[in-house]
Amino acid sequence: MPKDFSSNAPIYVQIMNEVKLKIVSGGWEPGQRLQSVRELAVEFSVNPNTMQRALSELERDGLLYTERTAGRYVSQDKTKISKARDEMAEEYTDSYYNSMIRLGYGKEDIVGIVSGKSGIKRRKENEQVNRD
Amino acid sequence: MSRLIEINSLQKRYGAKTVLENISLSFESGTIAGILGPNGSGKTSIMKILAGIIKDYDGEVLIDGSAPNEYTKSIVSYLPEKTYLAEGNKAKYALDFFEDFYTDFDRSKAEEMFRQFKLDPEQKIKSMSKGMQEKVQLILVMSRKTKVYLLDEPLGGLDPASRKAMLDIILNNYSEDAVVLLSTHLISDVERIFDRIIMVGDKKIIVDDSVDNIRQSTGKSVEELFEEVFKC
Amino acid sequence: MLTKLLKYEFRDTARTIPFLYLITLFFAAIAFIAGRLKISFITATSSVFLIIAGVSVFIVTFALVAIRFYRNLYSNEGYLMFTLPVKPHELLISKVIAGFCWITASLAVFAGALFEAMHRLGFGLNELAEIRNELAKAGLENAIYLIIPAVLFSILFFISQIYFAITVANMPCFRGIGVAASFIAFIVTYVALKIVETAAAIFIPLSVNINLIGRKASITTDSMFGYLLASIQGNEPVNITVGIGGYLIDIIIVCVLLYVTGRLMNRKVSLR
Repeated sequence: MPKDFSSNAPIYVQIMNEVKLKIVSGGWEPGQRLQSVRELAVEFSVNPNTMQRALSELERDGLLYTERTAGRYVSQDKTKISKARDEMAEEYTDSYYNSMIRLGYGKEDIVGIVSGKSGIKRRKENEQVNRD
Repeated sequence: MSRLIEINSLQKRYGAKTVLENISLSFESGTIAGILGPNGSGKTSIMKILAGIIKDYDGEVLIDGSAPNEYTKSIVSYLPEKTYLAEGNKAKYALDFFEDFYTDFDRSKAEEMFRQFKLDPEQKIKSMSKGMQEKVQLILVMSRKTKVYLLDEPLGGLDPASRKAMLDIILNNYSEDAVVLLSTHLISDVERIFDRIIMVGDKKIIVDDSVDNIRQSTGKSVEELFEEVFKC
Repeated sequence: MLTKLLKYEFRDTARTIPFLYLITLFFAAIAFIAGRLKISFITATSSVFLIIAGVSVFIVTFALVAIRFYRNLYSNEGYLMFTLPVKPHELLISKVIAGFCWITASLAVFAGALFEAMHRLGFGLNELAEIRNELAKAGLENAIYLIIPAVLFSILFFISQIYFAITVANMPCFRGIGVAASFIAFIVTYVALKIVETAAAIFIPLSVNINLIGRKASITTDSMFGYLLASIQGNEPVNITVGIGGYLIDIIIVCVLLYVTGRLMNRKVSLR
């Protein structure tokens, strides 16, 4: 897990990540209007001030924008969204990679494990067939 | 933002026993604060003093500029740890009662929450489970649109699913420019809804900080810090 | 707000106390029907029951008023009552008014039951008329009406003492004693006030002087003390002197009791 998701990270950072995940995964579509801060706070079970802070940070990052009266929207800038997605992917990868190093795997082992992930499954299926 | 609650050098004694010693605190509108502390640490005493139930204290306590009196009671919505509804009455009686005495009570909102939580206003309080009684009281208290909410252990006897529901009631219904003070010992469940944490122990305030500051400066969650501060 | 408090005070108490009246009415009905049918055995028995019912109504009403006061203010329900946006004395006043009304009503029911039972048992209006005649001989036939304010006042006096005792018993320093604290506080208050009242009746130089020969009553500034002294010494006084200082002091006591109770409620009582 990326370090920002640990239980000790500031809550607004955790919320930022949860919201970011919604955006980059397409759960919230580009240009979609967000619910009110209060509603989102309830949805994420979090203090409205914390929600507000997380949203403002994401706005600064350009993933959200505010129309002065109409409310808050998901950015329509797809390159920005995919860039954010890449960043998150990198964070997850780093975190995974570092954990694996700490477990004592070498770089090749890790590559092998990742690329063979579907392979492991296939091998097990073959063993099953052979036994039958 | 305005200063809604102001407490200066508050002391409270029960006979020879001091429970609060020189406490000073203030709360601005728009705050949800958690009051945490072990049993007997004085959390409930602070709540009772603000609610106007304990009158013999030393020091200054001001709510919207007044010491606890009938005005402050009209802007304070207080949920004690006790079940204060008369057992022989139906829940509907409590709705009538709140509607009559509190002008800021929104009856239709309360009735809607009754439906949402499948509570029957025609049911007698004594035939309800403890959890149902707690829900009824929280609904009554949160259906007031007021400035100060004092919630003393609102999650006490509830299962985790109900706890989430209770938190939703609180987050959904408090007025935006209000102060919510919530005391609890179930920290991990509610940590996320606070923007400020006050830890009371040994008659004094030990920690008073925002949740995110605590996490950033100590690298610990509030629950971890709590366990460290109050470890035996 | 007082009217709202009264509304709930009566709404709550109206669910128990009138039930007592129904029981009394039931015995009254039996006594009445038995009387009509001339079944003397049932008439007598039901009349006795009627008297017992009447007395019980009166006593139970007192108990219910006291319990209501305790439970509504000093048990968990107090958390609701003491956080209402009302002035603390309004809580007390609403309870005094409601208690007073119910006890007065119960007393009326008691008196009615007693009258009806006596009537069935053979005492009639004649006896009452005789009493009135006796008083008339002393020129005091209107004095009988003084009983009404005197009785109403003593109900108020009694309620104030009950509420005062319960409130004192719920101060933090006495709470450890438990329910017994209320009874002890009541007995102590009652005895202490009786002493004060009696002393006031004897020594305050204000009394009604009844001249037995001229059959005339007048208010004088004598105290009752001299009259009592004379009686003890065996003299046969021509005048009876009845001190009324006790009644005056009672009025003051009621005011003080209610004031102190209200103040304790506001300042000292803290709930468990």
